[in-house]
Amino acid sequence: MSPSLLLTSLALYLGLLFLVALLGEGRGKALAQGPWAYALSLAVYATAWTFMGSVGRAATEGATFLPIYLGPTLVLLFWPLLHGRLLQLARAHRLTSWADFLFLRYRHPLLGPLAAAFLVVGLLPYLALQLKAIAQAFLFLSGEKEPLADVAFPTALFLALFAILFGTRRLDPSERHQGLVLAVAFESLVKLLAFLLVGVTMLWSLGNPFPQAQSRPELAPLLLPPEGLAGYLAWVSLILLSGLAFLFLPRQFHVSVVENVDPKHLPLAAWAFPLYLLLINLPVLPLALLGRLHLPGENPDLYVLALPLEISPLLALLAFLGGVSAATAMVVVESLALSILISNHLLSPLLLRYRALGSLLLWRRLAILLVMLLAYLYFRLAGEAYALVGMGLISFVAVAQLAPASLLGLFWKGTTPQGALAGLLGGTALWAYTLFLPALARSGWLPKGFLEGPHPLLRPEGLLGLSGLDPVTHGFLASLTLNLALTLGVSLFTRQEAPSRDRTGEVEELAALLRRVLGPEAGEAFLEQATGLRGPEAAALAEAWLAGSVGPATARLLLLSATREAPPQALREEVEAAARESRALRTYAEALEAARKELSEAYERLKALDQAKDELLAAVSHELKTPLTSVRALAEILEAHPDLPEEERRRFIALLAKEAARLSRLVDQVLAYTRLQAGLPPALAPTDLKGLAEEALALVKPLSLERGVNMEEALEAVHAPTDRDRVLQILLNLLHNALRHARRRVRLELHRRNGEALFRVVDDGPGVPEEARPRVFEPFQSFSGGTGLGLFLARRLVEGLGGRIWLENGNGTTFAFTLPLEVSHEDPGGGRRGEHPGAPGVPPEEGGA
Amino acid sequence: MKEKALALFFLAILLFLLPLDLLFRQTEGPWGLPPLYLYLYGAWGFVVLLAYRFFRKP
Repeated sequence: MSPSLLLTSLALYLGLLFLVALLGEGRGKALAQGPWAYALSLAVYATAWTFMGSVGRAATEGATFLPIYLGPTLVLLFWPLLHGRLLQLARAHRLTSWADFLFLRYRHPLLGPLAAAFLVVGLLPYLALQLKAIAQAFLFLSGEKEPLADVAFPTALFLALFAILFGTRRLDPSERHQGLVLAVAFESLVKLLAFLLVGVTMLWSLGNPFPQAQSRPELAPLLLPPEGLAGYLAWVSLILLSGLAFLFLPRQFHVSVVENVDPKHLPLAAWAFPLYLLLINLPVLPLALLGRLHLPGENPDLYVLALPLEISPLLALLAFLGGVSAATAMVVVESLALSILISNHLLSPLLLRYRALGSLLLWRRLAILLVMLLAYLYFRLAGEAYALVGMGLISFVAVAQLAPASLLGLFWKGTTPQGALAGLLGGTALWAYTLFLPALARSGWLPKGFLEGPHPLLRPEGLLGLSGLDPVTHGFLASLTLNLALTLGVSLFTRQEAPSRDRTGEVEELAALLRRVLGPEAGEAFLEQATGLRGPEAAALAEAWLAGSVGPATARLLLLSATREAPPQALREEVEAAARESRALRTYAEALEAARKELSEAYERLKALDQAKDELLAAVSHELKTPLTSVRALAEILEAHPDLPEEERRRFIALLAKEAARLSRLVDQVLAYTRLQAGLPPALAPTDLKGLAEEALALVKPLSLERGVNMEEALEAVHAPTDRDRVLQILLNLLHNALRHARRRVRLELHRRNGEALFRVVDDGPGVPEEARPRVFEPFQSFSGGTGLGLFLARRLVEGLGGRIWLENGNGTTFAFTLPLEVSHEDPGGGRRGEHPGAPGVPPEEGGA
Repeated sequence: MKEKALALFFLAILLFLLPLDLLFRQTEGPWGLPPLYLYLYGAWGFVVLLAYRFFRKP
């Protein structure tokens, strides 16, 4: 196939990847944040090793390619439970890797850097393997020779640029990278579809390989399970190993935890991702058998390319792009995850020491480039050596060394930092001794004699004289057993250190620290979120923010400058208890103060009422005194002068009767006033107001005749639920008042207006003087020899019935009052009692309504 | 859901970790396919189906 066609296709594919990532950052953001993108992004697990290596493994070792995918399937079934907890922790503390978790859990300064360094060393060959897959595929299809046709280097550079652009825009690596996630999800789809298409086309073109394979004895082992106890142990170990690798690979942590936007995506991933793995493994065995049958001399790792090339170059090109997609997704995410490990655990403490923390983002970008170049260098140096081709599973074993300290740390409180450190160191050392160094020895970089070991019991690939196990199973079981034993054993025999004191600090100081380290936006965002938090909580939040960006150890150091030790827990509890008691006391005191105020106001009201009562008594006494004095004087005159002329005697008796009537009126009104004060509720009943008005006019008719005043009426037929006696009292009071002042006529009107009954009593008298108008409804304000209680009582009665009363402007005097035509059940006073809409005497047009 | 997930997890362990060597000694099974792979892919698909039923509604 033409190299230029291949190069162009590669460049176009990488360009497309770029566009997809840009889409994820823009319009496709919602898609990138969806559950399907999340589930597909987990398929970054399936690398070029899956795409090409699985077929190679199936063609040489049979079914042992499957445990590598059965392990993650098992983990995924447990996923919603395990990762729910992990996500909570990651959210709270902004974790970016398992190394962050180890530091957070154990607070040991060596654990984070050790885990980070170990992961970098263990995974570099795995990254190199991906670059090799791309280069090898290109060479195979193009037929060119190295190094001229080496596309691995520019591809590595492009992928580094891609990871820098879409993974390190900001310092905070715990932020989500939608573009990256969408690109990885897209690549997962591409590799699945390409692989399935290749499988289906080859089966269609070359036929069912199983009947032929069953007739070839040399292929029979490929169709049978691994033999014996060693084979079973290898099967079980591979499932366990791949499950642990899936959990602890930095790229898996990155896509599954750091890039997770919603924990609700976990249930879908729990079945969708195992389904993905099942589908991508369906064509593996048929392709392996077809390769063995049709391409006996070919490298089995290249069957995925070689078989399609027999049929159609276009199909081979598709297979090539599928392999490239598998490799590039892994390279981008893994290099990003490793660069975060390097910058957060290895570089940032150094940068802090040299006061260059501001350049951390630059260093993180350089770390991506460095990781990529080191991987490329490893690939170029190792070539076809075992140190590269056998590195996939060896890297898995390295990653699995994090499992005891991490899983025990998650679920067992008794794990101590010393135990975790001993386990990690022991496991790492044994991994190096049983797997890594033998791989170098097999590649010729160490003397072959190394494989024999210093003693038969210390043979690197057969410790304690064990034989029959394959090196990976042996190294995995040995290193993990030692790791677990040390973690458990040392934890049981070491004391749990007292947890370091929490830090506490002022929110403003912490915000200033974040502003200095992470920039002004982070400072403001922190201030917004932390306002109202207590000191220790604010310090913990600031530590989490810093840890996400500069690593947990550096964050701890940075925090020292802006915080102080929080008081011990017991003391804090006492202080909090005292504060609670103090709050309770304060609440009690406030309640007491409120009660005192209420009592004081009640006392003032009572005092005012008492004073009003005294004033009323004085006024009533005064009002009673005048007619009584007249009565007494007239009676004494009549008694002392029995010989008074008849005409004079009659005049005195008439005066006596008049004064007595005045006294009677006064007493009636005082009684009415006391009834009002007693607060008796009005007796509401449907009332014919027109009839009532006519009755009032009839009652005052003798007086009008006596005064020579003409009574006029303009009455509409109106009915209302009201207290008949009280309305009659109001009308009589107003009519008596009018008759006292009228010259020739008094007019009574009744209209229906705005849902109310409106009465008007108009006289043609001199009117109320301007200065007296504000006081016209106050008690004992008489300007014409009345009792001074009539208008006051009228106002109180009207208000008691839910109406309003006022004095209108104009010639003569016009009093008007209203009564509601409907009364609610809850408020028999028409809903207005006690809430007079305006000052008494003010007409509604002037603010009274 | 926690109990179902645990039960499914243990069922999957049982299915995947059976002593296959003792169970599948033939290379040819139904439809001319190897019984080992028929079993493994079948068990895998069954587990995925159960997971779908358990987890499809969050």
